[in-house]
Amino acid sequence: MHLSLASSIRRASASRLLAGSAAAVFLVAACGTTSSTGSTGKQPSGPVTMGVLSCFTGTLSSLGAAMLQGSQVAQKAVNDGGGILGQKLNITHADTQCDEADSVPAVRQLLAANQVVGIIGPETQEINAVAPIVMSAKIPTQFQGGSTLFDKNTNQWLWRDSPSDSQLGVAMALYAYNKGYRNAALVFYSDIAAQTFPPPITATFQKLGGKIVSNITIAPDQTSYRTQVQQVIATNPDVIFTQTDAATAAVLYRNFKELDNLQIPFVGTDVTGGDDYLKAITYQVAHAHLISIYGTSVSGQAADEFNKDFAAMFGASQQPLANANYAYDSVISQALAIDKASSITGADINAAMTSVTNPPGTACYTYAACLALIKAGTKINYEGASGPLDYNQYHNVFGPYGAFQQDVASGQQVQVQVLTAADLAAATP
Amino acid sequence: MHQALLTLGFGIVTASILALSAVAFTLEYAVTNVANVSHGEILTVGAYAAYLVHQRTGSAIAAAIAAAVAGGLIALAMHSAVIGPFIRHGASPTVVFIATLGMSFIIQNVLVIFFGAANVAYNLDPGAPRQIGPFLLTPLDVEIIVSAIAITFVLYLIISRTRFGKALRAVSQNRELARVTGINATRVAAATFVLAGLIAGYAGFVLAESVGSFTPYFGFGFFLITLTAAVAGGLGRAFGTMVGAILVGIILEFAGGYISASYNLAFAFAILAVVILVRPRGLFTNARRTVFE
Amino acid sequence: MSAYLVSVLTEGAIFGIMALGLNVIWGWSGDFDLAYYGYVAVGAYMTLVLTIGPATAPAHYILGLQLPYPLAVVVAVLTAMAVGLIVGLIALRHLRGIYFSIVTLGAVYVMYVLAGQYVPLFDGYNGLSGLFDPMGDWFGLDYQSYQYFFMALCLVAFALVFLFMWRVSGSRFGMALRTLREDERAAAAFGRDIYRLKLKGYVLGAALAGFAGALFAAYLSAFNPSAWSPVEVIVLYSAVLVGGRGNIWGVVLGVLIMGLLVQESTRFLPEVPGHPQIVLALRGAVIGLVLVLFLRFRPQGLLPERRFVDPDPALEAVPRTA
Repeated sequence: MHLSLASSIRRASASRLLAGSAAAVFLVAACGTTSSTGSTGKQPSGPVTMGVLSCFTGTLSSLGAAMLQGSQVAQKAVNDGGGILGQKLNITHADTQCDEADSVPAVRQLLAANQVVGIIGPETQEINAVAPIVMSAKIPTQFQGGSTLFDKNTNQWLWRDSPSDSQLGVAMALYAYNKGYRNAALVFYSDIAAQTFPPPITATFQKLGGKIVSNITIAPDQTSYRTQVQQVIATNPDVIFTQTDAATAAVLYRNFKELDNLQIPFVGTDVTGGDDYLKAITYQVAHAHLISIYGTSVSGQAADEFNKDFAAMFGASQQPLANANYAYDSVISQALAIDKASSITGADINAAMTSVTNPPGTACYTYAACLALIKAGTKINYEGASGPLDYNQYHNVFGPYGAFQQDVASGQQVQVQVLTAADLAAATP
Repeated sequence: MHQALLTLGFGIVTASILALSAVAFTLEYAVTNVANVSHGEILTVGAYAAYLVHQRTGSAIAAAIAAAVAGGLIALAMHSAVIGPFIRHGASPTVVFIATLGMSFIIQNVLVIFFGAANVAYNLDPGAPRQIGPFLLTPLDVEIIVSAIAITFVLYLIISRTRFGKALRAVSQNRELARVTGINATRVAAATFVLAGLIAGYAGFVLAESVGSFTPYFGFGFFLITLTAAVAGGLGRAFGTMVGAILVGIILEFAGGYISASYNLAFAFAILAVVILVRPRGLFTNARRTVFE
Repeated sequence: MSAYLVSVLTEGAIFGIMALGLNVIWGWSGDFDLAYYGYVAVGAYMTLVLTIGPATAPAHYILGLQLPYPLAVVVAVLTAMAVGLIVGLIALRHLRGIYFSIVTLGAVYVMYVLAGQYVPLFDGYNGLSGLFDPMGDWFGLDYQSYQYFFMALCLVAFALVFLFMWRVSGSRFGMALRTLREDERAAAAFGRDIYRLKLKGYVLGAALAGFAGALFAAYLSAFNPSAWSPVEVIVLYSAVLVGGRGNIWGVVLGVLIMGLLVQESTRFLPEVPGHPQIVLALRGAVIGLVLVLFLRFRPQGLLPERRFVDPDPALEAVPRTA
C-alpha cells in the first residue's frame, strides 16, 4: 500500500547517501562442516545468516547497495577466515523502500523466513518502526543511520558503529572555528539533513564564539537557487556549512560561481566527500573550495584488509561504495561476538559484543586474526575498517574525524587535519 | 532594493519556464475540457529525451529539438490512447481527470524501469552572468526568457491567424457546435495536443537545464505548480494563464527567498485555494463564482 | 511465514477500513477527493502524540500526553474529522468536479509539507515513535501473541466498520448521498440541503480515514513522512474502482485484489539481478493501468452497485449521468 512516490516532492540525500550503484553480486555460501568449538550456548546446525535491511529501490537505493556490498565483503572475510562456529556465513537482504510502513513486513520477513541472527541496517527513515520489533525478537541490530535522536539510545539491541551526525556537526564547527572563521552560513537540502545538522553546528559554533549569519534551506521544487545564494552572499559569511545531494550541488556551486566567484569556502560532510558529489562540482572546484569532514580510522590495517577483500571480489579497478566499510565492520564484529559467545542466541551475541570491540584487549584487525586470538582465550579489541569501534554505554561510537581535501591528480581525498575525540569532547556544547 | 531586484530577475526566469508549461497545459484543457494530470510527464519525457540526445550528439540545439519532438509524440499518444477515447465515450471531465492520473502513474513507473529512480545530473555551462538592466542573468537565462517570449508570440500567431487556430478556438468554445460546422474536433484536439506537447517537452528541457538534475517524478512536482498558475490565470485561457504563470513564478521566488523554500508547494496551493474560492474561473476573467462541472 | 501472514492480514484490515471510508466520499457522494490520505496521516500522527511521552531534546512535537490507546484513538478520529470538516467547508461550498479535486490536492500537500517541514508539530522528517504494543500489557501479552491480538483487533474493527457501512448504505442518508451523486440539481430542487449532506458524508469518510490511521500508527509503532505520501490514495481508488464503486461488498473485493494480490504478491517475485527497482515499478504501472482500463471499460467495477430505489419516486425520472 505504500508506493515510494513521496520522492515526487523530495529528493535523495540522507546523511548516509552517497555514491552510485553497484551490481548486486550474490555469493551463495555452501554448507560448512560440523562445529568443533566447546559449546555453551545454542549452536548453529547449518549456515549462519545475517540480514541486510535497507532500501534497494527508490531514490535512496544507493544506501542499500553500499550496505549489501560491505556485508558481502565481510562475508568473504569471515568465510575465508574460518567461518562462524564452524559454519559458513550467509548474507540475505530485505527491501524497506526507505519507507517506515514497508519496513515492518520487511523486517518480519527477515526474522521469520530467514531466521537471521543479526541485522545490518536500517537507516534513519525506518529505524523507529524497526526498533521495537528487533527488541521484541531480541536480535542485535546494526543501525546505519546518523540520526541524532539515537545519541542517548537505550535500546540495548541497537548498535551504531558509525558516528552520529551530531558529532559530525561538532567536528564541522570545530574545524571551521580553528581555521579562523567567525561568521558562518548554513546551506542544507530540505530533507532530513536540514533538520539534523544545523542544531549541533550552531550550538558548537556559538559556544566557541562564532556566529551563524544565515540559515538557508534548498528545496526540490525550485528552478534555481540563486535567490538563496544571493542571500547567503549578502550576509558576508566567512564559511558555508553544507550538505546537499550531488546533482543539487552542481547547480549550487554554479550559482555561487556566477554570483561571487566562489569566494566563500565550504565545509561539508561525508556526503560532500563522496565521489559523485566531487565529480558533480568537479575535482578542481572541490580542491580549491571544499573541505569535507568525516570519520577517519586510527589504524589503516583493518581498512587495508577491507580493501584487499573488496578488490578480490569486485576487481582492483573498483572503489568500494561510500560507507560500505561501516556495514563490513558490523558483520565482522557480530561474527566475532558469536565466536566469543559460542552461541547464536541474540542475547548471548549482544552480551558478547563489547567484549570483542572495546578495550582493554589485544588489538586485532582482521577476522582471521581476531578469531585465532579468541580461540586462544585472549581478550581482543577489534579495530575496524571504519574506526576503532569502541562502544559507549549508549552503543554509540566516537571516532577521530578528519578534514579532507580533494587531490585533483589522484582523484583521492587527502586528509589535511585530524580532529581527535578529545578535541570534540571539549568542543561539544 | 538591490536584493529584491535580483530576486525579481531570477523570478522572471522561473516564470518563463512556468509560463511555457502552463500555457501548454491550458491548451490541452481548452480543446478537451479535461485537466490532464499527466501533463507533468510530458516535461519529464522531454527532459530524458534531451539528456539522451545531448549525451550522444553534444549539441544543446539537438537536445532542445529532441525534447520538443518527444513531448509532442507523448502528448499525441496521451490523447490518442486515453483522453480522446474517453471523451468520445462520453466520460465526464472528472472521470478523464482520474484516468490521466492513472496515466501519469504508468509513465512515471515505465521511466523508472528504463532509467531507474535515481537523480540524473544534467549540467550545461550556463555561461557567466551579466548585468542586464537591474538584473543579473546568465546567457542561459536570457535564452530561456527569449525563447519563452518567442514561443508565446508564435503561439499567438497560430491561434489568431491560421485556419487551425480558428478551428482550435471553435472547439474550445463549443465542441458540439464546432462539429456541426464541419470541424473534425478530434483531429483538432489531437493536433493541439501535439502543439502543447512540443511546448511542454521544450519546457522540460529548459527546466532540467535550469535545475541541473531530474528523476522520473520531476515533471509531477512541477505539474503541481503549473496547475496553480493555470487555474489562477483561468483554465483554458492562454493569455490569462500566461499572466498567472508570471505572477506565481515571481511570488514563489520571493517566498522561497524571504520565507523558506521548504514551504514552496504549500505557498503555491495557498494561492490556488484563495483564487479558486474567490474567482474560480481565474483572476483575469469575468464569470460566475460557482463552479459546477 | 505465519508472522508475515499476520502482518499482511493486519495491513489488509486497515487498508479495508480506509477503502470503506473513501467509498463514502467517492462511491456514494461522488467526489474525487485527493486529500483523503491526509486524514489517515492526521489519525496516525495524533494517535502517536497522544499516547507517547512528552518530547525530549533533540525531538520536538506537540502534546505527548500518554493517554490510554482507546482514548487516543477517539481523539485522533475527532481530529481527523475536524480537519476534514475544515477542508470540506472550503472545498464543498461551491466546487465540484475537478475544481474540488484540485483544492483537495492542495490541502493534502499543505498537510504533507507542514508535517515534514514544520518541526515543532510532529518532529518533521524524524517523525514520531514509541507506541509499543498498545493495550498489550493490559492482557499481559508477549510480543508474539500481541501480533495475533492486534490482527484480531484490526479484523474486528474492520468487521464493525463494514456492518456500520452496511447499515448506512441502506439508510436514508446513504440513499440521499447517492441521489446527489446522480443529479445534484434535481436533489436540490427537491429541497435537500446539498452542502450539509455532502459535508456529513465527507466528515464520515475522514473519520474512517482517521480511525484507520490510528490503527496504522499502532501497527507501525511510529510514523514519519517516509510512511505516507499524498499519492498513495491512488491505490485506494484503484481498489474501490476495481471492486465496485458504491457497493461495500465490491470495495472488500477490490481491497483483496489490489491490496493483497497486486501489492503483497509482488513481494515474492524474484528480483531482477542488478535492477531491484523493476518489480516495484511494474507494480506501480499496473495500478495506473488498472485505473485507466477499468474507468474506460468497466467503470461499475467487478461487483456493481445495485440500482437502488429512492423513497422519493419523482427522482426516478431523473436521467443518469455516469
